[in-house]
Amino acid sequence: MKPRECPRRWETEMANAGLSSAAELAQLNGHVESCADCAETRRFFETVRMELRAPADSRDALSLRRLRNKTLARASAAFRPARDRRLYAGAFGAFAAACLGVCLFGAVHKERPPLEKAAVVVEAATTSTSFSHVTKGGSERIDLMDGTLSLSSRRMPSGAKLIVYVPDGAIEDVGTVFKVSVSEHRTVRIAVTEGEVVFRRPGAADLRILAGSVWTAPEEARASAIQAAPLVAAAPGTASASPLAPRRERTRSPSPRVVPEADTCPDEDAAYLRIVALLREHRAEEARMGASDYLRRCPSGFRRTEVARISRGP
Amino acid sequence: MTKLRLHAVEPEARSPDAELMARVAKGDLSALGTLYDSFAPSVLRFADRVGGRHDAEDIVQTVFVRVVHSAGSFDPRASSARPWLFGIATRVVLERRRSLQRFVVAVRALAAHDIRTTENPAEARSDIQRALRRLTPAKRAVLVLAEAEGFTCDEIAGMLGLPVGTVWTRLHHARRELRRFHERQK
Repeated sequence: MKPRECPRRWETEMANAGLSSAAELAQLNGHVESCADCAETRRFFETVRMELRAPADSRDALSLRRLRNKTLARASAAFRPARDRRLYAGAFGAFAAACLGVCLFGAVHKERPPLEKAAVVVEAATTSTSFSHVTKGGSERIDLMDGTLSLSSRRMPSGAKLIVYVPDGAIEDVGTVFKVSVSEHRTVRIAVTEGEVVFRRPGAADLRILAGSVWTAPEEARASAIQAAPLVAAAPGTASASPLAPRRERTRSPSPRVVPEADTCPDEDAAYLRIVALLREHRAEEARMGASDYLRRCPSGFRRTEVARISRGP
Repeated sequence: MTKLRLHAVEPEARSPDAELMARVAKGDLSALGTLYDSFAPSVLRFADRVGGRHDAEDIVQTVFVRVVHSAGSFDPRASSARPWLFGIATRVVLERRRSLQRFVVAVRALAAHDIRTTENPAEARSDIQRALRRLTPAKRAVLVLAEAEGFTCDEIAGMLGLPVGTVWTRLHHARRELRRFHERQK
């Protein structure tokens, strides 16, 4: 006959779970001796504990050994990814550091792009400098009417020329850094920093001015270079650090552009400057008329070629 | 001026299990072997009871693989690694049962089988064993941890990350179901 469920069965369960105090346990022991249901409950709990703690069907030693080996083999494989992860993390870190170092090095030692080496760099020394700059066929032509220009020409293409036309002549550059000043329609100073220039004036010998040399016009020089006597090659207006190096052989075989002419057009320079001024003011028609007048009055003028072009118009 | 005196403080000595776990965390396979020899028999017994004999060996392997991955998270102040290991073992068993349950639910429409009847009848040697198989995996695990392995409710709660009341409730229901099944058999 099944004993009826005792309302204190839960105390037995608590005692079985180890949740009863000593006093509660002692009281419960007294109750269990007189309660069939609680006694049955206690016996059941002990049976469960013994059943669960009883060893299961034991495996043979070989099976246990195999299990151990398999388990440690799987665990060893689990170790490798961790080690590999550390290795990969370290390798990645080193690679990232190397890339960063290369980028920083490149940024610091960045090869600057080569400066655009313009064939000619013209800088006006003052805002009042009056000049014009024309590029034609690779050659550079600069007309300096008044003021100071600083010029730097590098690596002119072969066959190309840079010629600076001044009121009293022309300065041919041969790969040079130099400065030329014009005042009151005459060249007053040429300073050569690098290279050399050849200063050609009508009625005067060519002057070759070398690097480090400065030529200044003599005080008695007239505005028109044609009226002046041909300069003696070795006697410039003022001497500078390096003597000028005019070449006597040049006087014997003058440049084709230096043509000693008689004074047939005393105001040639002024006429030319007027034409240039009109062109700069975009007064093309008047410039053409001025050019025609120049050609009429100065058929052998120093700048006849250019003025002829201007007179023909666009 | 106040002078400060500094005394060297020796670090607390770690338990042997904590030392072993620290070495396992560093990749020491021999330490893992020592750990295995110490705890594998009880873990295997637990897996037999809760997971079933045919899954027990795989459960043991899975447990120690997870030990390798989780060794770094072991609390070095713990006196023993046993509760920590059994916590891993319980989670492994429950995960396997859940995945098996999903599979059975999918197949149930075709096979029309009850999961409990798929258990190997040879494993249920006694009424208690058979009653144990009829418990849910969660209740079964708590019961085996408490009765077979001797863990207290507090320890089981800490292992499984459950409130103590939940552990007590599961234990109570497991015992009640066992008792009822046993009485019905009698």
